[in-house]
Amino acid sequence: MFTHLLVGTNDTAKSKQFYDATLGALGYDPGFDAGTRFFYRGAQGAFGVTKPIDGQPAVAANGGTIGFAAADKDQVDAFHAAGLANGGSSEGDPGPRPNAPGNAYGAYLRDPDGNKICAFCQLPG
Amino acid sequence: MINHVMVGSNDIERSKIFYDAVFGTLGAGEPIRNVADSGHIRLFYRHDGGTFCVSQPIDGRPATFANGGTIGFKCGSPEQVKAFHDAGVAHGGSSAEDPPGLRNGVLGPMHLSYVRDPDGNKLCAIHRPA
Repeated sequence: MFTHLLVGTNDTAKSKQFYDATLGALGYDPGFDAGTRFFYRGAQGAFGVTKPIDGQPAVAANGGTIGFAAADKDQVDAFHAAGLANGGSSEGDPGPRPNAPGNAYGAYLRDPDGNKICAFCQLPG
Repeated sequence: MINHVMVGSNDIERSKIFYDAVFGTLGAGEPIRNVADSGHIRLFYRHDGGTFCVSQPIDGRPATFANGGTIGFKCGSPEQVKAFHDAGVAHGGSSAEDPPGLRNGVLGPMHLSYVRDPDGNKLCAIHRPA
């Protein structure tokens, strides 16, 4: 369904540190640095962080979230801890998410620019 | 890589008209309508291994779009790229960036179109020739 997702940043160095750590916890290589933007490649799409091309400040959406797939609970926990240690803030501690489909386990973060992201896995059983 | 993507809406019925039309051009069906415990309404579109959600913000504040943010959708042909865009414009969206067409970027030729949904969220339809 998706080819790529972009979020905005006002500080690419700070943002890259955050995403290298959080997406690294999910098994991704450090972002490919393309100057004003950087990209992480997955099997079915890419995630990028960019300075807005209109020259205006990057602003986070309200109501918007990007959910990353995690392999297991340990990855979700590591994703959240890496975010807190690298300039992010918690928007929901790791734990079961009974309102999500299946036996979901997830954690929410804000990146240094306020963009809301989360990681989800399915618990066994 | 992506589990799901969610965008905010200030008028869920207006959003449904828009997203039913654009996702219809990709072959997606009706969304699942969900009411969160908080009472907020959200629509889940599941298609081709992905989940896209439109939600009333759970903090009760107005939905706002990101600046710098874009969501890219995979299309099967140049015609689908244009149809996605045109359906959006005809159902409450607005055209963004250059008109639908072929671009030669650093990643090679790509058919692209950009459209903003009624709340300003920026979408991109892409077909990369084989």
